[in-house]
Amino acid sequence: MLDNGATVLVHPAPGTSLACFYCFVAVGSRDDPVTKSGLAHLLEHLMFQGTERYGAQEFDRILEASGGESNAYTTHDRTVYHDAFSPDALEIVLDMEADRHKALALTNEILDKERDVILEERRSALEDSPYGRMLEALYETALAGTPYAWPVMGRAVDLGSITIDDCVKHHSHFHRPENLVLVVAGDIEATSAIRAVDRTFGRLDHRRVAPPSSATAPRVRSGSEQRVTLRMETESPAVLLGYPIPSVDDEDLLALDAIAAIFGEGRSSRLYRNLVDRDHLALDFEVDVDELLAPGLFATWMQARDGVTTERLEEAWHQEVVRLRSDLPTDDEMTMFRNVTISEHLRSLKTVSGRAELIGHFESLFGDHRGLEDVLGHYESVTAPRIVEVARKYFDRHGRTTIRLEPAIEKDATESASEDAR
Amino acid sequence: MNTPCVRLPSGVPLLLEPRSDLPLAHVFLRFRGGASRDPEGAEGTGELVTRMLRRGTRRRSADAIEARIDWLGALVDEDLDHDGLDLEAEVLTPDLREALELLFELAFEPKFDDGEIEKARDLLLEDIKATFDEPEEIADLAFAREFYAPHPYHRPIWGTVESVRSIDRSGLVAFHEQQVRCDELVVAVGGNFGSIDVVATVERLVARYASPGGASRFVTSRGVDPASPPPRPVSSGRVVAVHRAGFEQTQLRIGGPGVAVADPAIDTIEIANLIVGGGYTSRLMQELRIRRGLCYDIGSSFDAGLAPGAFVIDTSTKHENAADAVRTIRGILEQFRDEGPDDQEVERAIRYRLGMFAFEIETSEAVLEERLDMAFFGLPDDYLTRYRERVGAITRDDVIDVSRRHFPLDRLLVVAVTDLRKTGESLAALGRVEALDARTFQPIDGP
Repeated sequence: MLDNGATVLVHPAPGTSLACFYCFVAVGSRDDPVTKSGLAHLLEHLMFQGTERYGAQEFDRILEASGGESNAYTTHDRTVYHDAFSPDALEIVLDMEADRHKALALTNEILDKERDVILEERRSALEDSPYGRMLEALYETALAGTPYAWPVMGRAVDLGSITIDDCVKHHSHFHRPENLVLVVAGDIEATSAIRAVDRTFGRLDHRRVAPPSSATAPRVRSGSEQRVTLRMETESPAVLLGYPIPSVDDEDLLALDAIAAIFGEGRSSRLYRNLVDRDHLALDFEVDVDELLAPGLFATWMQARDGVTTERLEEAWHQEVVRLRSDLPTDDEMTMFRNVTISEHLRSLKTVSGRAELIGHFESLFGDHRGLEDVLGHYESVTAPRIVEVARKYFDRHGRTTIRLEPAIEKDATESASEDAR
Repeated sequence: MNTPCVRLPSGVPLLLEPRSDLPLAHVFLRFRGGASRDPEGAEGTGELVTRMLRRGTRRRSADAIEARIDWLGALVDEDLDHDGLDLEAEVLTPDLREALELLFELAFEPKFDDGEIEKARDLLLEDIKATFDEPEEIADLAFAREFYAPHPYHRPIWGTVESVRSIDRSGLVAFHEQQVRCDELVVAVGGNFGSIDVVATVERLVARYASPGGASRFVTSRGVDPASPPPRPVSSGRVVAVHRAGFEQTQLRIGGPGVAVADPAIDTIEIANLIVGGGYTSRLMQELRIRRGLCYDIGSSFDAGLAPGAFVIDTSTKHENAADAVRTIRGILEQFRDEGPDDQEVERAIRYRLGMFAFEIETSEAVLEERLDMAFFGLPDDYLTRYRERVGAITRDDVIDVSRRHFPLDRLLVVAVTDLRKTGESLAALGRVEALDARTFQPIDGP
């Protein structure tokens, strides 16, 4: 750890002739002020728009001229900046990265253009995607009253109200050294890499800034089932179901991962075998388990086959849940889960960048990168009876939120998707 | 990268890329041919054959195949493009022998059970219908259709509802016999082999399935498949608007004639393309996203295949900005053709390309895929080993030369998937607009 509180991890990979850098910042969309959703993601975009020392677009020009490239992403809980480059460019990369965490050179013109860019990003990823619209509706409904209710990209209406002052305050508060986990990896020597990080990120002030007005602590709604129907021009009706689940540090998450694999991993999974192949009900499906710092959702999306209603899909899903809650998973399903977990873990370690990202992820989210070493052992501990126990605990119809997508009633009356809450 | 290419007795090339850092191994089988060989009117035949490879063999049922793949924790993927058919698997090292056996069985012993054919056909038909909800898919299909016709590259790989309904079992069997043959095959195995003798195992499998006397075409011919004539040069200045109500953005595909993978200038063309639309500092990205805020993403690429492909720019923007985006893109291409790049741009693009190359060949799997392309597209044996040297020697004059030859403004085709009620008038200012329906691609009344 640097004197100013930033955490530094180095992962040497000699002989690879490449290097990468990850910076995990402990800020995500959950930290957006309630009426300024999308602020963390907007700030991620603005971090590429120049500082006093490195003018607009200079960051990318220097990086590309050093054989490198840069990108970033924002999640509900974290913002992650990452660079891939030639090992001999380490010093300049670290200097530019540290510099943009000090202060940005923002103008209204830059802010307005980047806001337009994000509105286009929203149109592509959410508004023109039936699945994107359903996801947005699910979180807005199921996690209403929590900071996971809004999309990471923010609500269109909120994006328009964000000012430079909002961005500056957000940057000052969250981009302080003790919020940073820095990972340097690749064909670099560990001691000199740590010195280089100290020379650059070590200069960041250990500042104390009052937090901007923020959201309330996450809470998960409980009570009766909630249902929303979206209507838009579509060929395939679909249904998305969300069940409240605990945060990522809860050991039930391991069994929920196993349940997701049994339902949806591969073409021998229950949803593929029964709903797609045997009963011809679903065209496609997706099963996801949130791994968030506060309670999130277990979500299943199913796209209906021609002539199949969303009611019929929901009923088929219900039958699968009933079976999971009553019968032990088979030995083959348990072996599949174990082998898939091992294979996926090994795949994530194939590249230097993949390893660096995992190291940073564990350190930033769990406070200890060594958790990575135990991950397979934890999954080994998931048993068939435990899966049934966890299924009974979380797959309760009363806590469920159901989003249905139905074709627009009048084909051309689809200027925007309508929502009928029921 | 200097690892062996073994010629098996049948002539089938076997590429090996051993690496022992992780207990994972991968296998690729690539057959030359692809959707370009679909019979006229029966488009989708190759796709249906590809999907049938996992739907039962002479030895086991579809359920048994899927159960075994998932039990192993393996990734198995089958894919068809216009030039070839790929089967690939990634498995834990102890399962490598089984993966090799399985992939050869899937490739060479499909049963084509009638019930399974109907299941696969139903899914394919619904996948085709579902593309109507995907603006990017509609745009890609429309561009290929308008750009490549009458070359086979213009046909949709999945076929159409009508063509897929017309395919019968005998058509599938015939396509399979023509396409999935050892004399059209390249095999590649990489990663951690453990104690398995990969050469002996593959040799045994190839011997099991090779036709007597069928010499590999990868020995006797290289480069362009004689079955695929080059695409007809496009006419243009055309603006094709594909009407689809309900979307919030217009999807744009703007392109012109490109090159084949084996084109001798391909490395220089890649550098020129990086400057135009290949990186974050590219001219298109800087002007349309950074300066104007017109789009989230924009890029250009040369979709090179065995036959010359297309140069395509792809982006999306809200409807009211669509015509402005097209004009801006045309202006950037015009300036690039007339003035060429500056020294800094060329130097930065070369360094960027060389830096990224290290990441592109980081894993054995990635190197194998490059080497497969080399074998498949008939590239020289030293293509990879001398890549840095070749790219490092590219000069500004070289880039200027390709910018004049390969960014032809006079033959640009513009395809816009859009809501014509909102964009009709503004698109009409770009030239005569041909309006098509998004579901049928048939002409409709335009603006």
